[in-house]
Amino acid sequence: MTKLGRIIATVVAVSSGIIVLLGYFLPPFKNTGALLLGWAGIVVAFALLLGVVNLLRVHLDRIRHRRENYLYSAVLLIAFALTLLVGRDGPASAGGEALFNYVLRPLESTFFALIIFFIASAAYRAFRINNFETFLFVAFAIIVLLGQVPAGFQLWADLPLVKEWILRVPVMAGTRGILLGVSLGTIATGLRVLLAADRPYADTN
Amino acid sequence: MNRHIPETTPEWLRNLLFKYGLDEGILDGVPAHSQQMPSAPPDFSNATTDISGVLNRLAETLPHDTARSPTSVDWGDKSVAEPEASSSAMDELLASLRGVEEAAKSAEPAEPEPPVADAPDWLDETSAEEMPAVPVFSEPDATTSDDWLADLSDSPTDDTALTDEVPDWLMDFSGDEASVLSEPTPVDAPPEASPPAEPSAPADDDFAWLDDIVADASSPTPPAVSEPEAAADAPAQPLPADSPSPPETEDWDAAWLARVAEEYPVDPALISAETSGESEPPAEPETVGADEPTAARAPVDDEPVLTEPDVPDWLDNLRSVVDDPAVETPDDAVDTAADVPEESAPDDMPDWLSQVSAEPEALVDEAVDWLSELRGAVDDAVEPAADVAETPKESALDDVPDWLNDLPTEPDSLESAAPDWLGDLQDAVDDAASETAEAAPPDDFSVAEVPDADASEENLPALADVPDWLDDLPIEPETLEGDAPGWLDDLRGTAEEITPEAVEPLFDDFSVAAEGESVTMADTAPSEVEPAGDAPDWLDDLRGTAEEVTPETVEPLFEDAPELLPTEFNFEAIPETESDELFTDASIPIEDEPEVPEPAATEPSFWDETPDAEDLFADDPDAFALDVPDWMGALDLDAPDDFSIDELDEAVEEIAPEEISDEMPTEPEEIFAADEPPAETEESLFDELTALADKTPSEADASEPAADEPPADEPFSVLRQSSPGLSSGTAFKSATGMEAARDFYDIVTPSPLFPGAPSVPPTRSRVGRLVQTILSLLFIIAIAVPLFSHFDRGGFPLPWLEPSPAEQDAIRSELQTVVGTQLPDAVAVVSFDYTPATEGELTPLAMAVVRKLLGQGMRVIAVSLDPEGVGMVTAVFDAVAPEKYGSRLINAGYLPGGPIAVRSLTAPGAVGALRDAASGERLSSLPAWSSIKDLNAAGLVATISANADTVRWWVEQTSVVGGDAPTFARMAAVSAAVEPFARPYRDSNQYNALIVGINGAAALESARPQKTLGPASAMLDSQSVAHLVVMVLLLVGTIAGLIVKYGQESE
Repeated sequence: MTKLGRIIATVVAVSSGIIVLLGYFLPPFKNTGALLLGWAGIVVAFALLLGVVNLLRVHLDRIRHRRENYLYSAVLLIAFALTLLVGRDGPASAGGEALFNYVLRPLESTFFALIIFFIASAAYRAFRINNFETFLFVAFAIIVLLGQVPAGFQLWADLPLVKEWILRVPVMAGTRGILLGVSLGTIATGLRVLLAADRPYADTN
Repeated sequence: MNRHIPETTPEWLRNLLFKYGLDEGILDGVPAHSQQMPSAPPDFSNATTDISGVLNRLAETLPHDTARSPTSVDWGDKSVAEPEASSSAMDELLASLRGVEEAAKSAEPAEPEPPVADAPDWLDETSAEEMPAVPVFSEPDATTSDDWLADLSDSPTDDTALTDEVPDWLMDFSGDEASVLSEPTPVDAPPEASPPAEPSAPADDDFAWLDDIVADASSPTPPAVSEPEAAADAPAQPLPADSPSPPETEDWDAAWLARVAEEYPVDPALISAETSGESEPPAEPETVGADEPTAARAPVDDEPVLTEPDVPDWLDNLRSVVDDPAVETPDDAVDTAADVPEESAPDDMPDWLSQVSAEPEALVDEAVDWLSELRGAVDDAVEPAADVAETPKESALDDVPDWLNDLPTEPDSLESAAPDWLGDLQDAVDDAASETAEAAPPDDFSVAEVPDADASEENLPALADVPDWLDDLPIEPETLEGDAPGWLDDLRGTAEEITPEAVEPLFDDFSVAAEGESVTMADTAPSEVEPAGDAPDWLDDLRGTAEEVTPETVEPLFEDAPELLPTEFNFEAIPETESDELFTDASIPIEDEPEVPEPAATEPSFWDETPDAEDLFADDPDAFALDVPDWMGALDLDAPDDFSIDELDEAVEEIAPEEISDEMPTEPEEIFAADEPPAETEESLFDELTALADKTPSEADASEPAADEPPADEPFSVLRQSSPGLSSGTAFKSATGMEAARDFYDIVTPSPLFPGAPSVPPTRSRVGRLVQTILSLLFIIAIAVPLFSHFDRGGFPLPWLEPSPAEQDAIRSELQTVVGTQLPDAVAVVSFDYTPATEGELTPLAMAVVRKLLGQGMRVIAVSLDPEGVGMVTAVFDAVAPEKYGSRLINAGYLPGGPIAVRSLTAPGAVGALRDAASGERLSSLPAWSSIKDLNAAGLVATISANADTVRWWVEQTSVVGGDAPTFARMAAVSAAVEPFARPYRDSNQYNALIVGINGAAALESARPQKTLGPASAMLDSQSVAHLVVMVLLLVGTIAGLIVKYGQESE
């Protein structure tokens, strides 16, 4: 990107951000902000299209140069073509639903279900009581596990309350800290973008 | 004949070194000397530019203590020069010769000119600026010493160039000195009958070598310390074995002297004044008394200054010392020195020279004690000359300490350490030698006579004009001829110019003139006469060294530069080695090349089975040729066996310079630029390196190198492909190249086993594996059975599988606040922000929520921030109430942009602009949804999400519509994993209701009045069982582990 291009991109990004930000607080900028957000949606849609194009280019290049696992790239391109062909009437069409219900859903569900084995393995390693910290960890795990299911209530009626206290106080404290950090980071990032300190849209390499 | 006479460092030298702040030990041994002593002459361009000034300063800094070392010299008054007081035989000789020469040149106009071009700068400055007035010798009479000196100048007198090249102060030797120098001494014998060298030299011959030094440096000699150093550092000149006295030596001697004479012409007026008014005719040696020089020097004080601008006065004094008839014999010299007051020494004369001139007695008796010892040793060695062994002439042979005998023998070090001014002198000498190369040798050589065969040893002392310390100079014959310093060659030339006529008078005084036979030049040939017969022994040593040169001795000299090896060298005598494959046929061995370490036998590596570099191209010679540039191909490196270094040289010479400039780039950049640019890009190079890293040795060996495309596992294939200018055939043929490639391969190839790799866990026992398998099966069965049961417990609830009443009340309360307050036909915008990955947990929740909303009479507009959410919406709607789609339920599809989509949905008319995912029509065009324009028309905004970000987006972006008091309620139905991140928004009432996971779905199902179990309740059964099993196993395992642990500790 040339210097002039970087300048133009910076001006557009900063002005758009300021206008959208002002649209949250000042009514005169609300419609303008909404207009810019609508443009942003269009740009994002084109970005999705660009993503598709880039995906095709990368995998075609891998197949052309016979690089490692290029057959998987071939499978990807074939699936892409079939989905585009079958689902040409939209995802809510019969063909689109068929692909989703009989291909995508089972695959994703199965893949996610495999996590249980990793969770079990991690629990086996994490729930070894070696010191006081691991003891607390195991105790909290048992309380939350039993409090989540009706059996816990049957074992001890106040167990759900204990579970609830654990989730509301200690866990929420940590979670709020994380959220506050994320919020502050978001604000700082937004300010840097607005002040053109960060220009991810420009090729600053 | 080498005479290794043990000797100690003379006192005068020790004191001199002390004055210069140098330790004596620094001169003991060559390495220390060559490393510590400065290799270049000191810069005399400033204050004091001659050694006299330096020594004067040193003398001034030191206290004038009369009790100091006898070698010390009282410098006296600096402003008053009294050279006459320190006259000696040498001084007188030089003065007389110069006087004669000046008289001879008086008829020719002479003007002082700038210093000679070939003289060093310090020499020029010294002679032009600080050279003090040199008293004119008033007694140009010839002594016995004058004879040989006259011969020195007279021998080449037949050459007119010599007369022109001799400096003016030396021109005293060459004018009418013929008559003066040829005057027979009282004991003079016919020159033809005199032996050329006789040990019985006169006393002033002790200073003959000093005269040579004086004549060589034309007065401004370097400091006393650096003078022998220069001799030590002088590069050795190769000396032909069959030519003991090359004519070039005397020729360039003459040229050098002539050039100096041209540069230093003497004013005729001064010469005339000196010769006519103050000079006296040379006195006969017999008539010169011991005290005569002092009287003869008296008028010298009145002589004009700068009479001899090219000779320092201390040298004049030196000459006067030599010329002094008083020192004609040792005894006379002692007597004369006794009469000379010590204070009369000139202030600019070095103390060691002053010691020689002003204190001859001390010189002979005290300071030259070590010389006396040497003299005694020589007496033992030369019995025929026993009578003259006691003379200083004999001692002159040994006047150099041993440290000069230990001069470095390496030609390189000599050459590198030689000062520049020596190189300049050598250049001038070479020029002069080229001009006079055709000059005929002096006739004196043809009539030179040697007494007999034994005279070769007996006459050694007769060659005392060259100090024997030069005999022991280990000079390399290969470089002796070209790099010898001028003064050294001068000495050599002087020795060679000694004719019987010149030498004869030297021995007449001592009555040792042998009655030998005449010898001619032919007689001096090494094949007929012993080398020492007519040449000084130091030349004999050189000759012997040259004769000892064999190909084996020369071979190590050319290890680093085989191209310098002489073409006539016998290469067949050199055994071939395998290390140098580039010069296979030339067979230039590299003896010191380190051997390439072979890989360990126990660890066969890639290199063990990798073919050699030549084998890689054995199948296809063109493959090698392709890698060799054209300009290297012209060298014909793969020559046949009979290819020799000469042929290689010829092949190189055949390449014209213009061809080389055209074909062979000179700069590294041009090498790459001249050929095709590297075909590899960064990515491909990375792949190559990756291939190198990934290839195991076995894989690398499996692939055969191809001719056109080198294998990727070849260690230097990357380098060769990346740089076409490099030739693997040349770069990796040698052992060094292969070693470098091997190092590169080791660097780029990672170790197959990383040190930080996790260790393999120990295998469990069979019982342990069996228990683990059983527990896993029980765990799976306990979870799967409830999932496949789907039985309606109806009126038979199982408390252990039903949600707790408290939880049901909580869920009911939440939904009552959000849903219970909604009016019929109210619109709920529900976002399905999850994918099939989490549908197992969220789809039951979504179904429960949709049922709840439909049960409340609300209409549902489904959107999704995830592309896959569209399918989830369809699945839920199809599972809940497919018949109500279009009237009560509608799928608006995917909203791209994430938070921007949510933000855009808050815009006016945004909801009405949504399209039905099934029909594609806008909601505003649909009769059931035409009244819905924006979110303000909705009663509820709900998100069913498994992503904390979407939960946050909906809260953040929808707040712009109503702020803290929105017109619609917000509800979140999230997975249990997202609950901690959604709970804060619920606690802050940004979300009015929060339903979590299967528990919340089951609570919704159970909260319905129908009490029918839905999928959430079924899943909650499985979850409850799973949690119980996990808890039991966790407790049992933990307890068992603790028991084992403490049991082992107790044991």
